[in-house]
Amino acid sequence: MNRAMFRIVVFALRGWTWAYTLPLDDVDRETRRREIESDVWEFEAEHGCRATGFRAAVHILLRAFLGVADDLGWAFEHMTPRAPAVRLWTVIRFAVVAIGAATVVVSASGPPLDPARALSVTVEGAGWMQDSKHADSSGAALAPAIAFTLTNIADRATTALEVNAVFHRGALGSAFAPVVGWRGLGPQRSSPAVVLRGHPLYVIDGETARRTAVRLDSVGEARVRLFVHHEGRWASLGDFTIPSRPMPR
Amino acid sequence: MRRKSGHLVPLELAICEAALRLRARGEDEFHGYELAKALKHDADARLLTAYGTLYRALGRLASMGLLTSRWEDPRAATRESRPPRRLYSLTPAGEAAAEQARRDAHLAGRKRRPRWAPA
Repeated sequence: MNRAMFRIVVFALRGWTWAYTLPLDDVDRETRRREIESDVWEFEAEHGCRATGFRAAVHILLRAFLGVADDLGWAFEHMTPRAPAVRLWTVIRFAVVAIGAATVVVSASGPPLDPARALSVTVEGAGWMQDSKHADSSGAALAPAIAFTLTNIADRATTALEVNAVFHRGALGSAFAPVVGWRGLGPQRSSPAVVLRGHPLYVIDGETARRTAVRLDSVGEARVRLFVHHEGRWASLGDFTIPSRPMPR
Repeated sequence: MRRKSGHLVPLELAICEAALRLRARGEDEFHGYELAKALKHDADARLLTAYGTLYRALGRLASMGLLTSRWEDPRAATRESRPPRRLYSLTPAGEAAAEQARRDAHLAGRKRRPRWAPA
């Protein structure tokens, strides 16, 4: 969305430059248009990906808006006496429309989306999964797991998302890795179901001092906290219970 | 801003001074965006000078003979896959104007300085 907004603002700037240079002779018109084009290109090239963000769009819009009076003054100074008056009115009308449209776009986009508020978690299932990879003499190890979908309940799309989870039982915690991600969720769209699993759980036998897998009837409840990574920061999506039952298929 | 005859407005002075500083760094020629960055840095501003304000001021300075400009070789721009730059440079008259402005500002600062008087 931010990239689209940036493109719209640059388009509005080009449109405005096109409009106020319309009544001028070819040399003045081309000079100014090429100079603005070069300036925008240098700005984008210097800032890389950041150049297409919300702040960059606002920056360009402000630079354009604050220079409107000088643009018009400069255009009047360079206007040829033969320029028809109808062109002047075209310029003024276009200015009003372009500035209005760009302002609406920027104000509608608003501040960055808060993923904790924009994303709703639907738990499809939670429980304990048997982990045959970590099986030992006492049987397959059990690992806490949660299956869920994310729904974007905001009125605008998110950018790329990554989710992660921290499972904990008592004072013990384990972080899930690697993260799972998408390119983003449109408004009112849901992600595919995601299953995240913690590390297998063991207990130390007091007599033999051996590590043994926890049995389902003694595993008890665990908790999981889901996190989402969005636009450079992690946010918590809430805590959920992992009941002491097998993970539903 | 209404200008007195033969005087430069603050933005024009700032442009000449920024051009002098760029020259001291070995950059005899500069393009609009580069100058906007230099002005932002000098003024410790949050925003680059507005497009219309900057390019109108550059045009005025060029018409006063304080700056000259040329379009760079299009082949250089094509090689770097970017639009061609309009390169400006300070003329000797521009340099003199900037030096004069600097001296005037220094004198004005000295006049404003409070002086001790006998009790």
